[in-house]
Amino acid sequence: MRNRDRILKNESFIIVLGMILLMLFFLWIFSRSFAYFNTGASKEDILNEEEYKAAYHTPSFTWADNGNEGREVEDYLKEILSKDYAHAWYYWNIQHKNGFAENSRIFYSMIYTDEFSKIFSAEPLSKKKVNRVDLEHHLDIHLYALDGQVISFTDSAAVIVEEIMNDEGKIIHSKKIEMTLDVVMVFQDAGWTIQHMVPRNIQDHDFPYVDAQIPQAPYYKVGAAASYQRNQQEFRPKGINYYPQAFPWDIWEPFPEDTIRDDLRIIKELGMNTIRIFVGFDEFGKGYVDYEYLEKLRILLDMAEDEDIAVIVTLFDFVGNYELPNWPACDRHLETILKKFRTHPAIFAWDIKNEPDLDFKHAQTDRVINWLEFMLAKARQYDPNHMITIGWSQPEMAYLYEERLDFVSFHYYRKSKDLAVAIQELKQQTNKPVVLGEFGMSTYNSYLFPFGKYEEEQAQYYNEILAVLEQDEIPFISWTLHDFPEVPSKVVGSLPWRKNPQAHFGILKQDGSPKLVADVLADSFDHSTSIQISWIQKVLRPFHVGVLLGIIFVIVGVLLFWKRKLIIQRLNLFSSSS
Amino acid sequence: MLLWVCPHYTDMNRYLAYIFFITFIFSCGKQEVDDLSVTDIDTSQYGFSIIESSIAGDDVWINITGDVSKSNDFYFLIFHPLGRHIMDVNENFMQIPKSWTKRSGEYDVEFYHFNQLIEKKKFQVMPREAIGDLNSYIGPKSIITTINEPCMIIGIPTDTFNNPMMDGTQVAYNLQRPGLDIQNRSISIQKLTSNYVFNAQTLNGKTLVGINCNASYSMEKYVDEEPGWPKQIRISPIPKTLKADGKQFVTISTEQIRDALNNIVMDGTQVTFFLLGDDGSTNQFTSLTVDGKSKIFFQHPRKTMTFQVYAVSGNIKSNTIPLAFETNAKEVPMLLLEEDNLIRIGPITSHLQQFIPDGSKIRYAFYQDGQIMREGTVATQKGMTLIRLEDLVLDPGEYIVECEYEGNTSVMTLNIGN
Repeated sequence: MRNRDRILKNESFIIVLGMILLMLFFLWIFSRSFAYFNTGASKEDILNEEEYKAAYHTPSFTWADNGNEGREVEDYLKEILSKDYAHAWYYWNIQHKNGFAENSRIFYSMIYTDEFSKIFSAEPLSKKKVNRVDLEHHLDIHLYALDGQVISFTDSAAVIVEEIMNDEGKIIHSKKIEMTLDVVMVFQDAGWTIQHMVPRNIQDHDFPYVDAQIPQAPYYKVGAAASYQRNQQEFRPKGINYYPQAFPWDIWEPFPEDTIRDDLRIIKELGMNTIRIFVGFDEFGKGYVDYEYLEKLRILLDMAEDEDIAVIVTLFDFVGNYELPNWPACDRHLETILKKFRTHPAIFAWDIKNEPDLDFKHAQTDRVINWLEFMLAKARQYDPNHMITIGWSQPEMAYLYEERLDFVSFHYYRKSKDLAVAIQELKQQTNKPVVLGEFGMSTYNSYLFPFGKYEEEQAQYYNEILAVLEQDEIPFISWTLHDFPEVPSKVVGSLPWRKNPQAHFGILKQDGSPKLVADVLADSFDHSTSIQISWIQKVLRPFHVGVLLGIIFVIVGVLLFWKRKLIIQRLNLFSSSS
Repeated sequence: MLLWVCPHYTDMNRYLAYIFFITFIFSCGKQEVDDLSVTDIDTSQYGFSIIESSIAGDDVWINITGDVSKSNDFYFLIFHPLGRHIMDVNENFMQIPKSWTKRSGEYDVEFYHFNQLIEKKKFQVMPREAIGDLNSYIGPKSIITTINEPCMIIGIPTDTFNNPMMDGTQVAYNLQRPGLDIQNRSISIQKLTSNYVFNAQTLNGKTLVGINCNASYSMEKYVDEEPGWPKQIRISPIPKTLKADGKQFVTISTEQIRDALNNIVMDGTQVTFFLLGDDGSTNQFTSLTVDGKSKIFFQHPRKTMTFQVYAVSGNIKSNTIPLAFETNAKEVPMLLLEEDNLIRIGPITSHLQQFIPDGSKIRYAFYQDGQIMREGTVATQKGMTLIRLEDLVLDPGEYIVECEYEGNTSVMTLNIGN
């Protein structure tokens, strides 16, 4: 009997456990389904996927000016030819990956289309796979038919990047290939079609992409003893990551010019001399950078120059796709922005990517690293005047590529007492100057949020961090100027316990008044003094009070339920006597 | 809930096993294999040579030295004119697939074990002899003689696999120009193509073009050498006396139009005729030439008038000639039929003494003290028409009645008593 009871008891436990797991499973299915049906169709789904992606395949083109036989080459021809030639390459590239490309026949003669079809759809001779993308074409036209129907050109030093992957999809080779192609294209069916293409002078290199030399920037530059200089004067960045209060993470579409001007004055009054801003890749138009947005960026940089504030411009914000087909669009984005502002004196540095190490897991480390190598090399090429860095999310990652950066930048949201050790460890791996690109503490403190902090704690955290930085002479860019009324879901998702804390990292409250931390940031503040927080504050946090009230409420409820008969009896007696 | 999950208690274990199995599957992550370290194989013992014929479509073999059976991780990365392919090594003597090697160009072969490069080689595949169709392009398809317009012929000879020939290969161009002997030219290929440019000569006609390279021949092509724009346009005189009867057509024609080299202009050259009337009207007609002549047909107007006629083609304007249309009717007789309270107009006859066409409109007006009191139009039948005075409801008094047909007017006085 006892044995049977024990078995039943165990089985009941298993049933309850199973029920919980099953419910969690259904909850997961429900949440995924809900998310799927609320996501909406992507552009790739709405448009023809291949066509959409082909439109964003924008490798760079240069044209030799040697003259040619036949008809004079018009600018319009260059535009159309480069577009069709890039499309032809796009479909050639994706055939390596997919084994077929339906639209390739538009850009190749029938003979090529058939051959591609045969060799790419044939049984592979290896389980390893190839991804590739073309990035540069340098065209030298030899012959352009008098009636504009045939063109012959040499594509000198065309640059292709390839990823060779093993059967598990892991990159085993990253290659940069340069080669020369003699090409004949014919204009038919309203487009240019490749008739002949013969490669020669194939140069195959393994990554890194190029070994870029670090030039001496004429504006802001690294000086002696890991300091910074501007116009031969020592300059120590002391700054803040900046978004206008009403438009966090979405500054460029509304672009509140007056607000930004006012904010820059406030930043100056707070004793800061640097801001870090973010340029969204999608927002700015991917490979086709919107001139209107470039103009807005120029206005912001000009305003910063007027206020004598240096600007770190962080590029490729919200880019999580490091796959090869996205590289040409990233390259055009980089080229357009950097070439436009390469002589702007307000730019302290280009921050190539914000926290790319967070993408190592989902995008494959090698792929992210290859992308960074490529972008670093290109950034040097497009703007040799300004400094370049990468905003790593952790100090442990910040040594990566330090030899190719002007200074090392990392972000820090951990305990203040561990910062000194992290900096020391980093300094053992690099001689480059270090900048703390982000740090801060949220003052969100709610009855429902267990990790809430007071303004005093934020001030204390800043004070401790700044004390370490002062000791190591490390410049900083804190996070952030304002408390925000709303944080877009694209930043941290839509869950309130993630969004609300993110909205309260500011030095200024939502009403614009400064928090205690503003005093700590003043130059005159002595960081050796400690900021005390009373034990009452520590114990009676809103969440603790909430929990206490909840417990009391439950106890009272249970007591009322337990003694309900007695209470009803008493109430009846009271009513009958009255 | 429990009953739904386990309808029968005895099935409970089976359901639970199922739940745990699913949970286990979902909780299992894929174990990442990070270690691609090279095995114990000494790769310095390995290498390869390429046995090639250098001609597109021939067999290309790779001979590998070293025992490849020791590992399954040997492979080749081959970059060829159609792309990049990977070939796992499973024997010492391997053929590169013919579907790759039939393309001419440079081939880059790398021999790897795991991700360690053992050896790297290049080889060149040449096109075979030119044979079959020769790709040729001619443009423009027609050239104008008067401006010495150039025409380009492009020849791209290929082999059986559509590989273009190497630079320096000679391509023969044969041309039969209008009125000239066959001309032969030999042009060498540069950057996959050869081309020959010739200019239009003084004679118009067809130039026939043939291109060949070894056993490769183009389809016969031709270029039209067309005359140029008209040098002068003259309108032929129109001698007849024309009547404004609104029924007939007059033909206006140009003389044969020729270009600066005295060639008759191309059929289909557009000529626009302008007819400017003395009443301020403008008529415009477009016509195309046939055998150098262009003509239009123009309907006689219904009233007397004179046009100034000229023609334009391109920026060339012809002479201007007058074109006059006389009245069709001699007179418009008008008679008061007091008994019937009618006015009879007609019979109106034309210049050949026939009635004017039925339905011809005659305008009438009744004036009193210089003021129009009634007016309207009536249509003729057999050259006549009637105006019924009762219908006009005129006050007593004296009226001037006026009738007009194609510019001819008659007037009479009419007294209407109480």
